[in-house]
Amino acid sequence: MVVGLPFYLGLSALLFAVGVLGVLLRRDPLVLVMGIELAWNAGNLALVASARYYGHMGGQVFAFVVITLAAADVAVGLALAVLLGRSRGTVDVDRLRWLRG
Amino acid sequence: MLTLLWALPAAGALAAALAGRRAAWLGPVLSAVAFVLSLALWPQAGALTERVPWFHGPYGAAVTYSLGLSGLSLLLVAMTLLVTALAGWAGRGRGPAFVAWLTMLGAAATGMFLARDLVLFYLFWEAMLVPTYFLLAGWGGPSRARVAWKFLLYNVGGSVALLLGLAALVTFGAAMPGGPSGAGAALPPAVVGPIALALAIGFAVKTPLFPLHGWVADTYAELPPPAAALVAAVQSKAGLYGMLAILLPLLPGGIAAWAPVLIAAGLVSVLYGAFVALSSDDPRRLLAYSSVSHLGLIAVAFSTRVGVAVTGGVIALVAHGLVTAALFLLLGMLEDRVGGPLRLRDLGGLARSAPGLAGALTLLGMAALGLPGLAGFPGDLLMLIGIYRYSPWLAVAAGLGLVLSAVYMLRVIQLVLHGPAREGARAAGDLRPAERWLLAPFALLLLGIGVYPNPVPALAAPAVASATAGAPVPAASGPAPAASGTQGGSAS
Amino acid sequence: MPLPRSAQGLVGAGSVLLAFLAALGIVATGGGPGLYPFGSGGALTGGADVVLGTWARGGGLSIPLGLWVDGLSTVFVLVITGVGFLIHVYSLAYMGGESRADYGRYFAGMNLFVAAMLLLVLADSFPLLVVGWAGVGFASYLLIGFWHDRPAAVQAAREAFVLNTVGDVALILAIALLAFTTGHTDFAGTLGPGGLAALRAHPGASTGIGLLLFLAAAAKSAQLPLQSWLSDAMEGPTPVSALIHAATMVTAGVYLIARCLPVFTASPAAAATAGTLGAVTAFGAATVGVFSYDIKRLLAYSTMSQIGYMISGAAFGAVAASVSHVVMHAFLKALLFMCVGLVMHATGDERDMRRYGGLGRTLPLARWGFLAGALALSGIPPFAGFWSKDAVMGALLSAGHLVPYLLLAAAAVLTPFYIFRAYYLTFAGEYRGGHAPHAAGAPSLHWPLAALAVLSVLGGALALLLQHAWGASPDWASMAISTVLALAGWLGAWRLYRTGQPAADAWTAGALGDAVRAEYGWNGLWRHALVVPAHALGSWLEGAWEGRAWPSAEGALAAAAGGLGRLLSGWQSGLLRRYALSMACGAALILIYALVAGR
Repeated sequence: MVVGLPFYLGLSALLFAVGVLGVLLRRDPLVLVMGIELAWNAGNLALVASARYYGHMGGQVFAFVVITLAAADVAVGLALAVLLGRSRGTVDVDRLRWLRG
Repeated sequence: MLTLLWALPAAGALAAALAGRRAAWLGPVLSAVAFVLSLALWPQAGALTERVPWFHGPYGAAVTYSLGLSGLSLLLVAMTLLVTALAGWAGRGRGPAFVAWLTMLGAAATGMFLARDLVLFYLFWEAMLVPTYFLLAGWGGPSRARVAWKFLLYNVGGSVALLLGLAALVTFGAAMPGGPSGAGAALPPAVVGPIALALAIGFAVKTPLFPLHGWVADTYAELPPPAAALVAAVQSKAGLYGMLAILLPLLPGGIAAWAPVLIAAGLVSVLYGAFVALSSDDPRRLLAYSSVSHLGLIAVAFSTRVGVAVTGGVIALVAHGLVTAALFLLLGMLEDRVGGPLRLRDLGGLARSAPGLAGALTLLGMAALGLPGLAGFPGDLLMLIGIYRYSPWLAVAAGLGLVLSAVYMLRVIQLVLHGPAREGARAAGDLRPAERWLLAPFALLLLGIGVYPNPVPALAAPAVASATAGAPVPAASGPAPAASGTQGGSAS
Repeated sequence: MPLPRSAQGLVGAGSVLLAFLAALGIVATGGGPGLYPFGSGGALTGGADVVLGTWARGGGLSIPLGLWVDGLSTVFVLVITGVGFLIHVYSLAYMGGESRADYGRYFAGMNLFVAAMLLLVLADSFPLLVVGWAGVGFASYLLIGFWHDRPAAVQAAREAFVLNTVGDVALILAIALLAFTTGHTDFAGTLGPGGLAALRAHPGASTGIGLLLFLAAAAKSAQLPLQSWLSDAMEGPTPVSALIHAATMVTAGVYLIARCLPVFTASPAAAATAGTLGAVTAFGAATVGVFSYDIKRLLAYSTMSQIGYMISGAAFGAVAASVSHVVMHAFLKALLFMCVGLVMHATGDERDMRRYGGLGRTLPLARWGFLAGALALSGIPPFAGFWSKDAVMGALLSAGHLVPYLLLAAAAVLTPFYIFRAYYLTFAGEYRGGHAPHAAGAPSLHWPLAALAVLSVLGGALALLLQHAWGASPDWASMAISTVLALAGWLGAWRLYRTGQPAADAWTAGALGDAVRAEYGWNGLWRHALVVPAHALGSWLEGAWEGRAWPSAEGALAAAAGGLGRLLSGWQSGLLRRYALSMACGAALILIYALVAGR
């Protein structure tokens, strides 16, 4: 059995769903960042697999861009979480709602 | 060279803002220098352009920093700079920041009249908003905060409509008439109507025309008189200038479709403004409504796209700017004497105690009501002749507006000058020499244009021609200009 | 700083004298009053057009800047400057009681008045004519309201200006229609042969032009339906009234109608309307004059009546008769006003004839002057007014315009009656006022008066010369009738009033008299039909609409925007996870749309 493109895409979709659900259901910012990372990487998997399948390097290049962005994203996200924890005493995202309109 | 025209007052404004009281005189003086420069450029009107590529937008639209001095631009630029200089001079007492904002407004308006690129035009258009807002919020009357908001909301709303229209024009490859790339873009017929409407709304707010006039009376009533002079004289011309320089030549089909609406709005403005002015007790509000009335008539004249009417509209544009600016400046001098905002009913008898002031007010009031021999008349005459060609009843209604303007202007003159001297005016002295010199240029220009108006239409002729190109000539009941040559036209 | 009084007077009167000499110069160099302006077909042909430049050009219309000299304008220029000069001289002493600043202001206004009137009659195009036309209105505004401390004067000045503006706008509309019909606005293009052909081709437009021109003339010349300002304009100084009534202002309407003869030739309907309304004014104003107590108002009604003759004659094509009546009337009306000025000086500015009487002994010059003016006004041969007034009536009679003729004939009976009523009540009998009258003695008050008296007695020769030069022949039958009519009127006044007893005038009191003196309620009609509603509409719009309804509409819009904002701000819960859910749902929707649309 050849592991073809549909399998990679299926796995990617599965990972993305797990990531999104993590973002939606958890209240801990660390886990939130992890969920986002998972979603990023699900996208990466789809990009790389498609690049391989179509024989086009664009997807792989784009995956590198995503990896860099994800790293920056984590850095900013964790820094925010640390700062929030220091200044507000809590990191529960449901209680951090002073931007309510 | 053209850049200097708006950069000089802008530099003056910056100097006044940064260097404070010592440099406040730079604003008006540099504006005056720019005014002289604009007069020096008179022989080159229509031939002078400046162009620097700026950036490329989406859809291949190239934005250039492009200025041009058409005859129409020269008229309005010269008027703007003159009013800026004199109003700035009159407003020196209110501090360098006031002078800075005022001069900045003049610079932005000058740039707007010179711009030959749609995006650049919009930039200058928006740049006019900022100084006016700060003039209102910083030096306005007691309810300045509310009025500044109101001004901003109305005008930003108009700007949004204008931006939509201009963006659509740029997207479809149209360019500003008289600009470097010419106006030869074929717009899809389906978009012409909506674009014209969007532009018309933007211009109508600024003018303002009837249903969109809510900001104007409050704004003029709150602004200190020198600022009101500039706003009323210059900023209100932006809308009509845009109509003449962009809307009419670029979208003749669109304007034809919306002409009934525009004419109705203009006509209602004429009568509504005049009737409200009839019973205003606050001279600033009265001038605001009188502006609504006069500018409404010009909008009607432009909308008819009859050459004579458009020519008259241009003369009236210049005349109204000069008259309104001078009247607001004079009002400021009156307020200085009385010590606060005026109530017409509290005044009276100034003709006895202040004959110079009385003469000035009489002259300006007569010019405002279009007395023949002064600048208001040639424009009114040509507009009525042209509007008559479009529709006789429209001309009759417009004529009613003229009669009403005589009534309310006389009311002002008589309440202020005649009758027994009231408490409010007893201490008022006559005009000081400095004040006379401030008003003298206006009086001279109003007389000059009234006696010999031809330079104005001569300068504006190309703009009028391009604005009325392709307009249907209304079916004349008589043989058109050929009549004098032929003798045998008796058979009908 | 105002000039010294003598310099002000020298400039004021001297400039008008120079203008008169210049006018004589025009006559001497061939631009004589003998040149009849209209050709055989009725078009404007004779005349020198001195083009100085282009006043305005645009949109296919070119308006020249130039002057037009022909017989019509020369006659008017001579009258304006000649009679105007005499009135200026009279003013030198008459206004001597004013402060120096006011003295200068007075002469500035008077000179502006004369200058504007000269521009009016010399313009070679309608727009330039309007400049003079409105300049005359502006100058009259300044002078009627000269004593601006008096509310009545201010009110009268405003009324005059506004009614004149109505006329200005009518004239502008007439120009618009002329430009529309003939393609021109200058005299040569609109009234010349080409213009006349175009006008004849469009009788409807010609009628419209004619009616608008008449409306303009009615405003300026105080004819129905815009007549009411003239009687109120008596609030100005008396020499101003003389100038308005004799040389400038009210004759402008006659000039306009005479100048635009081609229009009225092309439209008999407009001619009939203008001619009949002029005759109605002539008769109606004469009836009001019969009942007047205020001597200046009486003269004002007399002017309205006489201008009615001129308008009627000019509209029906009797230009020569009409214009000669302008000249004669200028002489006699200036004279009458000067006499009244002397009377008012003597009686402390009293204007009510019921407080006069017996002044003939104190003021012999005023008495004889007034008598000369009254005889001339009455149309009693051989005095000046007879030759011109009868010429108008004779022209109407021979042209068969019976209704206007009968109205004018009735007015011709009333005219001697009211003017001799005034003469006897003022100069005969015993003095009825409070303080004893005192005579004023400056020679500059007297010799202009004497000059005009001579002209009023002998000036008829000028009228005959003008009529002869312009090709109008006298009508002996009409002359006989007119003489009988005038003598009948005088006889009536003589029988009732010759003793100067006030009891003879008792019949003018009472309700009928009040109604007539109120100009048959006409002023009230204007006020209640137009002025009051206009101001009510204005204050309603200003208060209820602009003051409340409009801001509350703006407020409602603002409140709606705010409510919408609050509604939408519920979404902005601050719950991070809800935002994420919204994003996910949005992304899913876009995805689904892409799938569906991509298929």
